[in-house]
Amino acid sequence: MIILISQEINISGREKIVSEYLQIRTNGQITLPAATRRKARLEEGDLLEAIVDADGSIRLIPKTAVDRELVEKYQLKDIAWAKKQKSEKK
Amino acid sequence: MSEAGALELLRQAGDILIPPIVEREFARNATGFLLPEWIKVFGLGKSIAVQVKKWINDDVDAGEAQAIGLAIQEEASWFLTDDGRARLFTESLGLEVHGSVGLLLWAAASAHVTGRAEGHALLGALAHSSLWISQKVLNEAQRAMDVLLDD
Repeated sequence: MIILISQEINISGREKIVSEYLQIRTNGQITLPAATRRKARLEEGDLLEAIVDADGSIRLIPKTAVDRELVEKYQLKDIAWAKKQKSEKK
Repeated sequence: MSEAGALELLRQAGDILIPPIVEREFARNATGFLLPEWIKVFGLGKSIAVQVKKWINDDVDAGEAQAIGLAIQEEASWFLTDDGRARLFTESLGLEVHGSVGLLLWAAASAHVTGRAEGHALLGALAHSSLWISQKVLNEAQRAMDVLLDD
């Protein structure tokens, strides 16, 4: 299967959207080309959320450092909450 | 929680409700895994459905918005999500929100986890799932697990 990220379109001579065809390989692996990674400012280790829309299209949403900070903050908050549950049960 | 083999602990928390859109997302994404029969699918009433549409934006998708609407409609005790932005928004509405790490430790605090070996195995499985957990959180959670299962 091949996924088309987007068409290469020149909008009013100002904005250029990068277009790439990706081929799905063994175990569902795909490689995001360097140009796409550069444009999206992605680095090794970054997380992408894959969202499958009703029409079958797939969006890859980068989970930024801000998302990670938020997730970590809430996970630590949950740890404190669970410990409090135990002390209240005593 | 299902990736960590800890879905059964979710059941211990009480009635688990999801809106139809989340059921459809689950059926589409979790190939080969059936939604447990104890997870109940509830629809939204007209008045809350109108409000839900206004919540959908870059931070809250349609599934999350409908789940929040369902939590308000059914006066749920907790709203469960691991998404930071969705949690930020849900808490702003006054709902109590928890994620997988919290739920796992709550299960330990509530004696639904039998011992340290099981508790640490579940934490390890969660850390190796698609859920992102920092080393700092994992260390804190492991220490908490020991404290919670100490008695």
